[in-house]
Amino acid sequence: MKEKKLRGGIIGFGKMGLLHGAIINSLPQSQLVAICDPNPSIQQTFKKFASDVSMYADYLTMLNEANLDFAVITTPTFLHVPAALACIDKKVNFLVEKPLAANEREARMLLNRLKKNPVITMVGYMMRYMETFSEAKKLLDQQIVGKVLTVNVTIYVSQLFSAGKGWRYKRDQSGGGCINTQATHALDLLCWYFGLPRTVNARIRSFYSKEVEDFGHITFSWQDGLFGWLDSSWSMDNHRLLETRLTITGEHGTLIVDDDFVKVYLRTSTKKFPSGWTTRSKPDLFSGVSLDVGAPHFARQDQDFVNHLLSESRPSNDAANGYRIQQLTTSIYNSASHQGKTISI
Amino acid sequence: MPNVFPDPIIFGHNQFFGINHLSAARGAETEEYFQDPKKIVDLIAFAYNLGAHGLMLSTHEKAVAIATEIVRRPTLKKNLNVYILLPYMAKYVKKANERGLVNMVFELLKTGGLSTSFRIGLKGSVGVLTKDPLALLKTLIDLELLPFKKLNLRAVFLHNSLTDLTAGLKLKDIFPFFVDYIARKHQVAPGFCTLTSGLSMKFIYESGLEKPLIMAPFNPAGFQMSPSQKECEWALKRFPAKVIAMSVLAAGYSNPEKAASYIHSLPAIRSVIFGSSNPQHIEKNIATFRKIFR
Repeated sequence: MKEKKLRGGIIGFGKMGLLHGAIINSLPQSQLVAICDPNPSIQQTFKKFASDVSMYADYLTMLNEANLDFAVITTPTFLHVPAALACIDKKVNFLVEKPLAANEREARMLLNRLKKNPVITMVGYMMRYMETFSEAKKLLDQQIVGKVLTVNVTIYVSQLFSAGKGWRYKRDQSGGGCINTQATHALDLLCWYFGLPRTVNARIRSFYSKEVEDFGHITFSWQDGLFGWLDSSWSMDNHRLLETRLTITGEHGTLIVDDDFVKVYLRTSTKKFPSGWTTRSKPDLFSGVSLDVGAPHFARQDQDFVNHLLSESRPSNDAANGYRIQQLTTSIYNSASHQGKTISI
Repeated sequence: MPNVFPDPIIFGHNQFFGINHLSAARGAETEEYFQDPKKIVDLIAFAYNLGAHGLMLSTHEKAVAIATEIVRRPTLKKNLNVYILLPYMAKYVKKANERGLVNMVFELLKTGGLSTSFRIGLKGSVGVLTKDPLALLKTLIDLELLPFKKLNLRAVFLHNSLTDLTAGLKLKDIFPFFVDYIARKHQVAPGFCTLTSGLSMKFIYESGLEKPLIMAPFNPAGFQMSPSQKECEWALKRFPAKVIAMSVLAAGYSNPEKAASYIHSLPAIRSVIFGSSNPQHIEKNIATFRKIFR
């Protein structure tokens, strides 16, 4: 007998909702059964082309009626927590886009509710599923460069060169600018690779935006002496797509990882690696996905989420991890509002 | 539908727009070199003279200047077969990030996208269009194609993101609509670009479209072949189509001989597309692929 597919619903059918909707509908173990979005044009358009998917104007009705196994929350950031709380109340597992919340207070409220009424959660930190960054995690776990001494990160995109419109540029709705909406991916990678930093110092600068930062520079220190910096902007020329690069120096050599490759430089050879440079690029590491829209890592993440639902296990990139990133982000903004003062986390 | 057999060798456009699937940094450098549309069209002419009689062009802002320059050169204007890929997605993704998906569509219609003359004809009808999704899609297609109408257009491809979203969501009427509209209104062959040919070719077939024009990655490394190299090869055998193989060199990762022998092993593929900024590579690649399509 054919196994029953998990029933998924989308809360907020914009760009990311479309993408996740198409992916969960293409996975062998799940299907898209419901969508909710308050915009009547979106409802009408979708109804016309996908008659077997139920369309709702609000998520409470959808959660009551659609008999969902899971929801994907792809609303603007300030609506993540109310939608997630509604999912918890209805015992519906959820994948929520990053960042978890617009502020730490709301994230904490969500986490407390989850402790009482646990469901399986995941936060959309998709860079963990990019071939190069996941390969770097494996290499770092094998201590390829020995004890890690410093880490430098840049994360840039050419996106904003005049005042932006919409929720992303309103602090109370987005929770912040290039740090909270884009560099948050790099913060997740740093915590995934090295754990939560102990202290931060940060400076931010706004030029195009009134309420949120367009540039940010952060320094970190960790418990074991590791330290480093991150530089972030969405107003950087010549970055057609969001580009992230980490340069990690260790006692035996250097590891450089970006969207395109992982490179390791070793001063002396080891059992697995020669001395000098070893490069692994995307074609070396590529593996196919059920649907390649946006980029393959979105499908890898959704597949991982569905696998966790099937095995009823908790992913490492869950809401609790999302809350840690939120704490780190709060400390960064806190430091920036005190001229770069050292903030302990 | 105009029954088009694609040119065996089509020159790609990515290098002109800073797109490089192996290295973003290298992509940005090439873009810097190609700031002048004359340099771009010189390279297109070079590839044309060696036998790449087709050119793929995305509806990137910069492609408008390339189109203008091609029209200035009589041989290219008359003989170069141009394949359009629409829309240029990165532009829309950034705009949607900034404005939201629905506002982006509104604003695009109001400002006329790549074309200024479009604005005049459209005044006042934006509100009506948003209530009729197919009329809206038609308008967006017209808007994207307008700057390229003077070229010798051979086919218009739907961008892989839209093909694969449609196939993933199983939106029933979109593909037949696209095929009908491009063929009837624009008198050009319609095609579909996909990065998930294993799934999308099946859905295109199920939508009732026979022998569609498809552009999809096929290379010995299996790079960008989803769900898997095996499933893409299966779809190629199972669903008859006219297929243009892209990413044949896996973004410069495979050597041309190896790539050509792989393509040769797949009889359904009668055409390849590749881009390069290096004249020596272009010459070598064209010579290598011409051998297998002889």
